[in-house]
Amino acid sequence: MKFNCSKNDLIQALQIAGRAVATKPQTPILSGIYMKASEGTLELQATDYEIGVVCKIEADVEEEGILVAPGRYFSEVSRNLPGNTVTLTNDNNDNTIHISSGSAHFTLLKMNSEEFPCIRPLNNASHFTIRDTVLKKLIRKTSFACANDETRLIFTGCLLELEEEAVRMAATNTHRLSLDQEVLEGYEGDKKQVIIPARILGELEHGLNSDIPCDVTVNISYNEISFSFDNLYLTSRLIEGQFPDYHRVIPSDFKTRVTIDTAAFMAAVNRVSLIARSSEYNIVKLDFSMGQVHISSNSPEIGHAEETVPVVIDGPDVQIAFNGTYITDVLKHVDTKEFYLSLNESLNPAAVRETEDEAFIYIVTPVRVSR
Amino acid sequence: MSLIHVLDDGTINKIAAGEVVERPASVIKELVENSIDAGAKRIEVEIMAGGTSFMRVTDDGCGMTMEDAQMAVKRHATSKIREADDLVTIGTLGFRGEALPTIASVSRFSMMTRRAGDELGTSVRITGDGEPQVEETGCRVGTTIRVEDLFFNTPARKKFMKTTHTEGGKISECLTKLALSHPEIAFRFISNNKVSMTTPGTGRLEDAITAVYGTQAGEALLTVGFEDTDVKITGFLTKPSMIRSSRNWQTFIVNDRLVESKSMSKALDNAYHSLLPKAGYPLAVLFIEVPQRSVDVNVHPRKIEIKFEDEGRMFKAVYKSVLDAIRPSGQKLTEVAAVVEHPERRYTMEGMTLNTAPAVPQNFHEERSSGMAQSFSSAVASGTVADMEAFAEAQQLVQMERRTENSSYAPTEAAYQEKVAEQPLIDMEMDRQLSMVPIGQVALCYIIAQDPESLYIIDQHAAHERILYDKFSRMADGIPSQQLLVHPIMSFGRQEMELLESHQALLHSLGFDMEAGGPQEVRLKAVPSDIPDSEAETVLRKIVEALLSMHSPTAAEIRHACIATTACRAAIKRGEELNLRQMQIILDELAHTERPYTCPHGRPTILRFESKDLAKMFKRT
Repeated sequence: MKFNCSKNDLIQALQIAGRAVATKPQTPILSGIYMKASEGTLELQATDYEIGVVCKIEADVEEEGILVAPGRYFSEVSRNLPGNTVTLTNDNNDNTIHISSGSAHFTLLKMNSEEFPCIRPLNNASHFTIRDTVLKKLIRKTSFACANDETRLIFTGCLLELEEEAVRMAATNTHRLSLDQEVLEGYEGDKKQVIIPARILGELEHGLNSDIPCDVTVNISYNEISFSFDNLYLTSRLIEGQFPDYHRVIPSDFKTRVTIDTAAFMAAVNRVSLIARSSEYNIVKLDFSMGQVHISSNSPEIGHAEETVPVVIDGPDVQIAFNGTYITDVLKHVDTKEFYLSLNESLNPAAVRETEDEAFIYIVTPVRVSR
Repeated sequence: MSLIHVLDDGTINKIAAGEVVERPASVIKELVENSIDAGAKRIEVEIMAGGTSFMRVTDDGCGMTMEDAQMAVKRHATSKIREADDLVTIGTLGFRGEALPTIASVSRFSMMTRRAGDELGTSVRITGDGEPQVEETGCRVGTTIRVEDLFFNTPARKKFMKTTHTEGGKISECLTKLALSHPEIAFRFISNNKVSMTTPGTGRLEDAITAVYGTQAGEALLTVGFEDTDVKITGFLTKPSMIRSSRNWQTFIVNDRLVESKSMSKALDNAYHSLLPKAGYPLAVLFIEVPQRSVDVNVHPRKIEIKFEDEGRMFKAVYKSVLDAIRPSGQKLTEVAAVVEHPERRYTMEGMTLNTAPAVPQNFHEERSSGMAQSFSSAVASGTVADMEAFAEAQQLVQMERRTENSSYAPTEAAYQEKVAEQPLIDMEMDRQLSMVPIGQVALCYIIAQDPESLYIIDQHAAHERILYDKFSRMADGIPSQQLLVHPIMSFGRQEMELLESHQALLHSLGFDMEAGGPQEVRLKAVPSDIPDSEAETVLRKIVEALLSMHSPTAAEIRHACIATTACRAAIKRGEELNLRQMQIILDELAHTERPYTCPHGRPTILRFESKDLAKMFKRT
């Protein structure tokens, strides 16, 4: 096999594919990147059995063929090549890959391509298409709320719920829940719920960065999901299990609704957290009264911080304390200039909503502070 | 013929022997207890081959007349109680009147006894089920009992005896405890013609402990003294540096009776918590005195188990007495400090109110703030310059108000903490002249210090670790609890459920909130903020476990492992060079920790060489 391609294209493709290369491979072959050259395209594949990535780039193929290169070395070598184009050749009788660019020449030992578990498109799966911007927004507004803790697997993923005309995503780490909804056109099928690992959503969000809007085709089988768009194909296992019923978590009504300036409030909470963060739990107290919110934190070892931000309060005054991270996390993803914070008592969950987007809601539980 | 018939005495005795006489050690226990009840001053015990072939107990007690001696070997014959009512106030060790006949029924038994006033003594011989042979004989004052060929006529039980070595060990262990429980009696234990233990019988417990456990243990003793309205606990413990591999070294004596009590051992463990490495138990001899009426000793034929009226209260009493003992004497200093801190605090508070009062008079303030709310909302809504100014002004006011609120406790608290920290230091140096002075550092790991009497070697890492552990433990209280959106359901046993329900307040203060979620199920609604969700369940189960053993865990205890690790990481390591000032700080702070002897993992922090130890090393004695 022999081909020439642009170095930048190759590096970009390797960067995306490289994320699926197993860091601690169960078998050595999973540390490799699979390459297939045919008719003007080079296809790269990588998988760690959890997620899989297929990426295609243009290439001037002189001789078709298949090979598996050691992932880490191939990526590092490519990134550091001096020239603008890369020539890769492989003698079928030989066990080596020759990479040359400009004045540099590398020889890498190839891996046995027959062992590589090639990624095949999902068959017999239900599918739908969604605009990339819509999908990206759904991911961005929910996946941050997932748990990192591997012990309870279902919370490390986002719930994807499909209905006729609507697609919803929800994520929780049991202390907070983020839920967003969009209109879905052209989905005909049963109501469906799957849990997608946050990891693939992160990769997907990363990959959905083209300036030209496109459609993403999503295929869902009983235990796998795949996303394909542009020249990319991502696939992942689904998380098995029953996601808790998020409807029950959302309070039906709130006594107090506070309208707050997003940027000002986030900056203030961040500042006050400087003191609170000294302990492992980042407790920020909020006191809503008289047209302002008084934000304070106290650490017996360090000191005290406070700040006030003007707000509009509809309803009775409230004092409440939160883990500051849970507040700043969501505000990073609030897109409107102002947001609503809806509250009941100081020990009831609160809700964050955008002023212009009814569909998005974030529920957060307060902390009980002694004294 | 009827199938059911009354058993003859011989059979009854053999059945009873199963309960009372389990092995040679139980024979020794019964006989020695009889000697103690007889008011003996010296007791000599001799055994051969672990007691399986020969046992002899000789005392100089009151002895018996011939008539009494004949009665004594009959079942349920006793001098110790007369009627059932006496059971409530039992003061003697034995009372059932079962021991002698049952022992006699399973061995070749002989007894020689003489009272001080009598000319001739009595000899009683019994072989198994045979009739007693009674005759007059010459012998010393007191009673001697020989038991030979134990279980010769009950082969089944004989088979269950362990090796002579093991049985000998059991006897030795049992005698040790008996000797400790009666330091006023001189014990002498001869095994296979060798004297293996003697106690002086001076009446001083520390002498008995030294005699039994050796001088090393004798020197590491800590005194326990605790007295309450109806509970009195005295005795000795060893410093955590002196630990043993099993609980055999723990002796509990309730009203002069040796007992085994799981809850007391647990109380001991809990008090030593964080002082000991995992595999180890402190040596302890505790005398517990409670009113006779509040205990029931008639639970078990061998009387090693005992029932307290209020088990939980006993647990707490033992826990507290042990804790008081293992805390250093420096504890007194903090008491002094506590007296000082009160006026100090009041003073600061007055200071703060004085500062703010002239600035904003109270009633004026209230008027302003009621009008303020309006100006705020209008300021936000319209956003005109004038309104914004009003807002800024109002905000300033509110802030000032808040500052006074906060300052009334936050800085004051800091100030008084400082005072607490400083005060004892001064007191210590002035009152006691006990200051340890650092001399230098060895191998960048050990601090060498001295006071006029002794030389000290301190492990700098272990010492700092202990200081930090205590500091972090204090911070563990009042950790906020994070509520859960998705409530995990945990299932518990019936008993555990009851415990959870009756300790709602405790769990609440530790940061757990829960409600019943079904039969034997609870729905967890909030967990402490610093405990990862995945561990919350484990922690809760540990708390329940602690509650089951009647111990209410504190916030610091449930985080013991975590705090210990944090302290270990944050502490100065081996290899860090310290100057004299830094060493002094470590020594002073260590002196103020609650338990300075060991690091949280149980390794020792400080070694002391007294001048006499040094003299010994230089062969000056």
